[in-house]
Amino acid sequence: MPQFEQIDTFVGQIFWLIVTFGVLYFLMAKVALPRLASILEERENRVSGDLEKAERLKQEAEEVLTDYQKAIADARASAVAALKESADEIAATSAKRQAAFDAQLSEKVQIAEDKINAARSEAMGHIKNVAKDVAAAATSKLLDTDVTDAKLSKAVDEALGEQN
Amino acid sequence: MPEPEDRSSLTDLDKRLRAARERQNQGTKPESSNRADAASGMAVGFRISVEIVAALIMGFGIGYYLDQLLGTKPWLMIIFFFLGIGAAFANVVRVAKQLENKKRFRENHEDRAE
Amino acid sequence: MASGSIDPMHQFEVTTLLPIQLGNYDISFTNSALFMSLSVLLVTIFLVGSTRGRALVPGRWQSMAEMSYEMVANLLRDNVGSAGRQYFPFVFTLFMFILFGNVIGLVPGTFTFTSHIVVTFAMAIIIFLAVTVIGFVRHGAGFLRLFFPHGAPLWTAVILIPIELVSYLSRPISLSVRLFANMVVGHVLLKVIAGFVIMLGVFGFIPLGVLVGITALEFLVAALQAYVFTILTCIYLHDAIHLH
Repeated sequence: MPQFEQIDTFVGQIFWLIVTFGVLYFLMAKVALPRLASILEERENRVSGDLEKAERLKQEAEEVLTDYQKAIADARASAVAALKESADEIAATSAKRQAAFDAQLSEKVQIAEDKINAARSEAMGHIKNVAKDVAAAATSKLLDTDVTDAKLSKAVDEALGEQN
Repeated sequence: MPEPEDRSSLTDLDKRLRAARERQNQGTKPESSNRADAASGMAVGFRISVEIVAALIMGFGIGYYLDQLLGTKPWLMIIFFFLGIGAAFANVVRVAKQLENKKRFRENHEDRAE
Repeated sequence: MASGSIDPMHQFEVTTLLPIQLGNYDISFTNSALFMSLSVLLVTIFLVGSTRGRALVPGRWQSMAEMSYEMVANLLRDNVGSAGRQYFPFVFTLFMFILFGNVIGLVPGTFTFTSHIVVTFAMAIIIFLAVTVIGFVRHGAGFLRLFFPHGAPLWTAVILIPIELVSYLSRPISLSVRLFANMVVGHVLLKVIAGFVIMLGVFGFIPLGVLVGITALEFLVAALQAYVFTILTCIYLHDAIHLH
């Protein structure tokens, strides 16, 4: 086995091992590893930066959504309030008008009733006179006696009262 | 009045963000050596036999050297040969413990770094 | 060897390419030194070339470079903890150097410097000494507690301390022999089977299938052994920093 026979190459192999390993160590420690470390760190920062940004944007979107919903709710509440107010107003106005109308109507009815009453009592007066005249004429013609005016009125009043 | 529908898309975004964050945190600590383990049965066997042989050689070698130095010919060689056997046992136990540690380490995935 | 013209050991021979003499020492530039340099060159091209763009979204090569970085970083963190951070460049260099040495050696006609015990042993002994020094620097004489299991009865020290000492001293041997033996066995196996392929001529397709399978396995072994060498270095570092 050359590994145990070529003893004279041992020093040379160890020498070159140390030299080449030393060179590689230097290159790794000074160039390759710092570069790799910075690349990985940069990526790490970038990725977490992006994630943070996305999370912040999400937060903002959520806030906007909350605001929007609040605005909607507010608008709805104020619309309901406005609606109620106008409904109340309408109700009040129509009630007032109704009341005015009622008043007017009852006044007219009153006037009409008064007129009717007046006409009736006038008519009654006329009927009484006529009845008196008829009764006077009838008694004078049939009985040939004159009845006093007072008696006549009394009898007519009684007859009319019975009718009423 | 229609209910706003985009609540669901926001929660979806939230879920995805959380997953990405988790992936990133996982990414800093990936499973280090599963692949090497797959074919390492042979390596473990070889490793243990090498540990035994190395301990025996070392014990025997020290005994031999001390005998030469002190002129106590076979005695230290014999004593150290037995110590070498003991050392071989110690080595094997140590390998077994390391493998056990590694397995446990992988199972509960806790950093034992101080 | 029995296979006539093909000597499976021939591939391990060190040949001088450029004779250099330094004092009494022969430090000729050999094929071993050539492939060590090639390994350095390729690792550097791989890692520096692929990261030239510093792309935020990495291409294939850059993401491979990042993967190797993160793999070794995780290995170190899992096995040593945060205190091992300062040794990361060394551990990473070690891993890449051995990995490329192993893999380049699988190309037919090349030389595998990790199949030489003197190379693997030199690496192992340097690690061993460095780890021992780190242990003593961090813990002073307290580092010697490593040789006595915590909580064991005191009288067992007489026997346990020598055993632990021998065990500790056997580390560079096991570390170097493992890599060396794996590389040698794999390459001899490949060479012998390749010899069969040539010997059998037309019927060579039978061992050719085996050859392809074993080559695939050897690539896995090449990576695995680089990994094992690195993880053991990490475990030794852990012992030196945390004691047991």
